[in-house]
Amino acid sequence: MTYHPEGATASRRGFLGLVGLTAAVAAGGGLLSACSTPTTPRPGSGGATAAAAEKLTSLVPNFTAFSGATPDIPGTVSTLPGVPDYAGGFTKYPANVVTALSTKQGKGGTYKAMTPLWGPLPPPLSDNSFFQDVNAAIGATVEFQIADGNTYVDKVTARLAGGDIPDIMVIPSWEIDKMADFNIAVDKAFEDLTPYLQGDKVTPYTMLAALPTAAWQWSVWNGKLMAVPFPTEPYPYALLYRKDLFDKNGWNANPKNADELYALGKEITDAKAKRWAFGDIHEMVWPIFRIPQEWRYEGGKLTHKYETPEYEAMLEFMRKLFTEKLIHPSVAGSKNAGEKELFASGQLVVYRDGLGGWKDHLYQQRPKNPEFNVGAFPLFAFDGGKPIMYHNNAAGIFTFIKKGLPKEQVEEILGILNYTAAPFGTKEFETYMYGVEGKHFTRDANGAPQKNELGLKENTDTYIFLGGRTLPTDWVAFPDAVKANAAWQNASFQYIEAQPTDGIRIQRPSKLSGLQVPTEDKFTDIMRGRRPVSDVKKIVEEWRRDGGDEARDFYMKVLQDNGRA
Amino acid sequence: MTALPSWAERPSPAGRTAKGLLLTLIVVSVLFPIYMVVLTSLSPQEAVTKAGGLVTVPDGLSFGAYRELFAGGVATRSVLVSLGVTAVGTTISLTVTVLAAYGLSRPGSVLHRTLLFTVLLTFLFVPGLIPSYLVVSSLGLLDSYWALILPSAVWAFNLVVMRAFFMNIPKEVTDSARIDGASEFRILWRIVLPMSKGVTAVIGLFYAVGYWNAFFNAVLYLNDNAKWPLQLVLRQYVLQGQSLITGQASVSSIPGQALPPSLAIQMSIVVVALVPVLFIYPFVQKHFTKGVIIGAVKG
Repeated sequence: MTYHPEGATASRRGFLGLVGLTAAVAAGGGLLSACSTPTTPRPGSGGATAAAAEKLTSLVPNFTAFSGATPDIPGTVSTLPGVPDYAGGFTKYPANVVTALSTKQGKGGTYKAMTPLWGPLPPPLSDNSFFQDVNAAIGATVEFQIADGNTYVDKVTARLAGGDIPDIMVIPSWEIDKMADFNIAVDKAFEDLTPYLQGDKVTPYTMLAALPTAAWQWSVWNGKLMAVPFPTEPYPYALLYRKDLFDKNGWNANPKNADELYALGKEITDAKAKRWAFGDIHEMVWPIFRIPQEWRYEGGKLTHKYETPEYEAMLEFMRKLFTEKLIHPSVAGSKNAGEKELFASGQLVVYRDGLGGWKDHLYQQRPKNPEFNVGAFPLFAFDGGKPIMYHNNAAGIFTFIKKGLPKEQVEEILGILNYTAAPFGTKEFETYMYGVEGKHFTRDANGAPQKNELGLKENTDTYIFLGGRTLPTDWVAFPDAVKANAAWQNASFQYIEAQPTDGIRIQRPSKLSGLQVPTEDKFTDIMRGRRPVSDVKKIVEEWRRDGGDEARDFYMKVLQDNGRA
Repeated sequence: MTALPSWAERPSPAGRTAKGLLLTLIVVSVLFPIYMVVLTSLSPQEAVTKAGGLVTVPDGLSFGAYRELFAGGVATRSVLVSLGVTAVGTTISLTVTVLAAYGLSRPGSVLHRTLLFTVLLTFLFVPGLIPSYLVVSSLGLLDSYWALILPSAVWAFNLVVMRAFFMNIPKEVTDSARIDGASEFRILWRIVLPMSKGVTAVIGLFYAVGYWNAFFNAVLYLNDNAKWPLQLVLRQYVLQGQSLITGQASVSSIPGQALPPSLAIQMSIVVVALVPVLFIYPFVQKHFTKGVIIGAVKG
């Protein structure tokens, strides 16, 4: 998978990212109509937009902290504009789970909500006691229209085009980036929430008021607050390693520069023993080589990461790892090799993953192998100097409300989203995440809820996608890992590199997004030894010609408009 | 004694051995992936972890993956939906295709050139996602099982193949029936179709496999999850956890997120999806070659 900075997530599969939209109003009264071609990128700069930071501040709800459960390990409050906070870690389940909301949020209404799902489908509302009980607790009926998360953009695009909008529609930011004219569709399809939430108007919705301001700023389109955000974590990924195997073999889990990383790869890799050092780690090698997350502004010029000498140096380093076979052959041979399985089996011992992968491995492997452990390499730079790290946008998923609903219904839906914004350590969170105690979940020795058989059958991720809440490290079953994870996140925060556009809400030019996969495929050819390194300049020139320069002009204008250039 | 041409000579023992080896290799390359899929689906989780992927050497036997797959009732219902859609869809598709192909194969039938041209146009201009959605929406088919059948009821390729086959039936046969007073429907039913069992079986198989495997119409047109067909339900298992872009709120960072299903479950799904096709195929295979080739080469 490819990481796309600036929330500019083109697609995990290139072809999906190339579905186009046009702005023409469809004859059938739809919002968008198009002859969408899944294989041809659309010309034009898409719906690229930018909103000034100051304007964003005046639109968003006033922040009021919620004094719920306090994490055992404090997090880090971000001082960088647009960069999410780290919410801290819980090494034990909160002793007092508080009730966050004193009144029922629903008023008996029934609403259809479209949410993505990357997992097995739960039984429908009529056969699902988890849905029924959570709805009863909320005081309104949410009827989920679950859609396959992998083809979500197609479904969203079609429904927007057909004017077939559910009452509540959840759209991840990486899908929005694929929709060229989303900034037009958003006005036609969804309710402007500014009159309901701006400034002090958010007061009745105490949980929504506790969402980070940076996340709300990311919910602004066309100068209006259009959605309720799901705040993200600060880091896109880390270099995870098999701590148990490193400890056992005495390998260096704290490489200080690129040479030490390479030496570590040579030491670990032993093809005869079916053990390789790395998965495809190149996206973590970007910050190691101090490649900017996307743009570097220097001396009045914007330089894209592909154009930097650091990028070429990174390609040469990765090429060395590939050609010397320090990367697992299945990973080298296939884009979609099962890195997680290979990591779990010990066939590769270092790979790049989101910090959530750490938790997955522990839940899956610890019960079978108590020794199993994961760690993350402390950040370092290729030359042993000060490292840099990338950051996520402040919000990753958005919940929209259908345009034209009566005021009372919009308010009731906001009440529902207020309920599902209750964070970890609240009764409401337990309810919408786990259902009813004794019926859908029991508590483990730590007091943490664990789904029982009915819970596993009926409860998949649904309410979690409605609105959002901050995400602490809450794997209380593994306090040692929580400590290590929280320590890594807190220690790494100082290295997050500010980007020239931080704090400005930018809808990425779709042409730039469309270029990303084909261009990086060419760079992959270089890394894997299928093209010479000398081709870099040619690839960069093609990138500039096909939309890179146009994107540069767009970003330069954004900086100028905001007094940053 | 006349020398045989080289291709008619009895092959040398070495040649025969080489051919045998080559054929064995081809068979193994086809069967081995299926063997791995079936074996992995029947392996306990420990064996899958140990193998670091697909299991190649048996290491324990477990039906846990199949039990888990069918535990919730969702997969079971979706099997019924898929069977229903496949049965009804194939019947409708075959009926319409036979009637249309017969009509278009009779020179002089009303507007047959125009209609044929229209059908052939769909080869060149495939409707896009949005226009298709708008048509289905305006016909009021959203969220109905008909949305899984009607948009793909006739495949132009099948229609053209069948028409070509019908055109190949000697005119004398149909003319003699006509002289005896048979109507067009009677000619089709009593004469043409019995002579076209092969192509009908093959086209029927194409349609059935198409309906059985289809999932994208369901992705687009069905909002009610209770109506999801098997392939879409199974897809959710197979692709779980592979979806979110790294760098966004990853699924796994969400508290309470179900862990990705084991490879064993994913492979059990592949087996479930494969079985009906594997079951039907041998019964239709004998018609396959002659059915398609005859129709395809004579136009």
